Amino acid sequence: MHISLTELERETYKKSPVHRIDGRIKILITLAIIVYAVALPRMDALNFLKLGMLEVYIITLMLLARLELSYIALRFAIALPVGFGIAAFQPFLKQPFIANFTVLYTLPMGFEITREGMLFGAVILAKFLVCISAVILLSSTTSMSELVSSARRMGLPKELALLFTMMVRYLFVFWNMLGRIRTAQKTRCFDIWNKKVPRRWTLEQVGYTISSMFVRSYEQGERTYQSMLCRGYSADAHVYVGRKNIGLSDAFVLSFTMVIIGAAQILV
Amino acid sequence: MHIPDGYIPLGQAAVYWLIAIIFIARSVKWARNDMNEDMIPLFGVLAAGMFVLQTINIAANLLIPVPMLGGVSWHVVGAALTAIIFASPWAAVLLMTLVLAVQSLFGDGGVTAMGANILNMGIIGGFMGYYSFIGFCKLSVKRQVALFAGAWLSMILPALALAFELWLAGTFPLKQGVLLMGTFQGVAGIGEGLMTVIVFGAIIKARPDIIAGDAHSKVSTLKVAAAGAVVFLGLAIAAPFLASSNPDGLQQTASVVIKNEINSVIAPITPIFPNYSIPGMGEKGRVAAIVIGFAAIILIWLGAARLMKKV
Repeated sequence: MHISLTELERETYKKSPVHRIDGRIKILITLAIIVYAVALPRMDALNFLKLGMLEVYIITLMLLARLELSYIALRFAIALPVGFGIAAFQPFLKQPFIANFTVLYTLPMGFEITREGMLFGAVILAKFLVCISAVILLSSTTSMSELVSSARRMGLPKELALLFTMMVRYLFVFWNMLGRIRTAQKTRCFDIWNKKVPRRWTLEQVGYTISSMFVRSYEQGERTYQSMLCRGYSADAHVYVGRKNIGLSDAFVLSFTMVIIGAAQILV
Repeated sequence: MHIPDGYIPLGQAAVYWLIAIIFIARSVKWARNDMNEDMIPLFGVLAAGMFVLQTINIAANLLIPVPMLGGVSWHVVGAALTAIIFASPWAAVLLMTLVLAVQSLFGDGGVTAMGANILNMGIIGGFMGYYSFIGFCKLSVKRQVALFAGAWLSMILPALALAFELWLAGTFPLKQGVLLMGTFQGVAGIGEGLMTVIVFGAIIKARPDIIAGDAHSKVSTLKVAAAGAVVFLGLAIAAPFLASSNPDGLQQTASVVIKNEINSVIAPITPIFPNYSIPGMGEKGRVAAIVIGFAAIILIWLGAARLMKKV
């Protein structure tokens, strides 16, 4: 279901013009694209041109960022089935907000494929594609710690900032911890698909892995909290975030994206 | 279960976000004040662990031995589990919010739809899982059974909410949605329930002090009843949209068999809301009739309870 954290982090540590853009600008760009795509009318064939323009823009940025093609393909391949699920049903459904349907094909058992249903399904899928591309671009060019500090600079409440800072700090620790558990299980030939052992036993082993992860992360939390207390942490403590000015090139990227979105809206 | 972007119109997504933000704010306050100490750093670290343990795959055919499910797997959600361990549904809301936020970076669940996802999995899953566990404990059911039931409900109720949200969004019809998501999550819920029982048992052996053991008995019955009332009211509001317009089996039989008698017997009794609806208000009237009826039943209950106390 997930791409591994290490693969994600490898891409975010590359150096490119896109990676250099300020995190705040990238968050804003991503949100603008997603909100614009979601806000488009649900039944309009022109959507595809507008969304197509945005998609081309995002893919250009991905190429500029020198992301590995196999990595991008893998991320799309993981994400797409999720979005495909409900969109694929649409041609067979009678959407409540559509008055008249044009039946294209009639299938046995009373199923009908309608033109409107196909359009609606395709619009959903196109919106999803653009949104997921924007998220892939953001998450592959910005490290998680930079995302959190950028969100902090944009006014994320300090409690949430602390929560996310701690979470992002320990994600990789626990990811490696789970990796070690998995290696240890593999060396003992443990496999969830193995049919030669009782199912109950396999379920229990998975359950023990989960509870071990839970207890270990809880205990890590306790240790971290106590060492923070030793260093003078209290409820009024702030996570320090240095000031960072938005440069001219950052402002240019932001305005250029707005121009692209505006152009998609006006020209098409 | 994660709703992606584009499935829910922006306006509705904003409403779900608003509800989610209110609950998130309260859950942060809970982590800071209601626990014995400031637990925010600890929960931040634990959220990382929760994210990672959600990547542990569990083969689907461990539950249902069907060869078709060869490569299908699922993972635990843990909303009910965390709520029960920390004896508070706010723990589930907080942890699920953090996990969902990071998951959305991986393409699991959308950004605009995150409010709805938090509402389903964190709020509905956490609250309903926790209070149904408490409810079963109060009925002095065995703890393992209560854990299983709580975890199962924490999967099936979000699925129903999801079906309702997608229907409101015009993306999926309600009846098929309830059937599809309900079946899917009903089966996944069995796995969630089994895992919750195993994991809870293992944690209580390793670190009994983590689990707020006695806190469960202190939860007032009123809160459990309120949670139950919310569920039933929610289901009742959804019911008229789910129900078919054809008369149900009993009515049908009665009208065929005793057509004449039934009219002469029942006709003099005029129901307050004929056909479970207020005339002239359409579907809204049906919902209103159900809400009024529900309130009336609760009032009668409370009245009866008062009377019995006096006697």
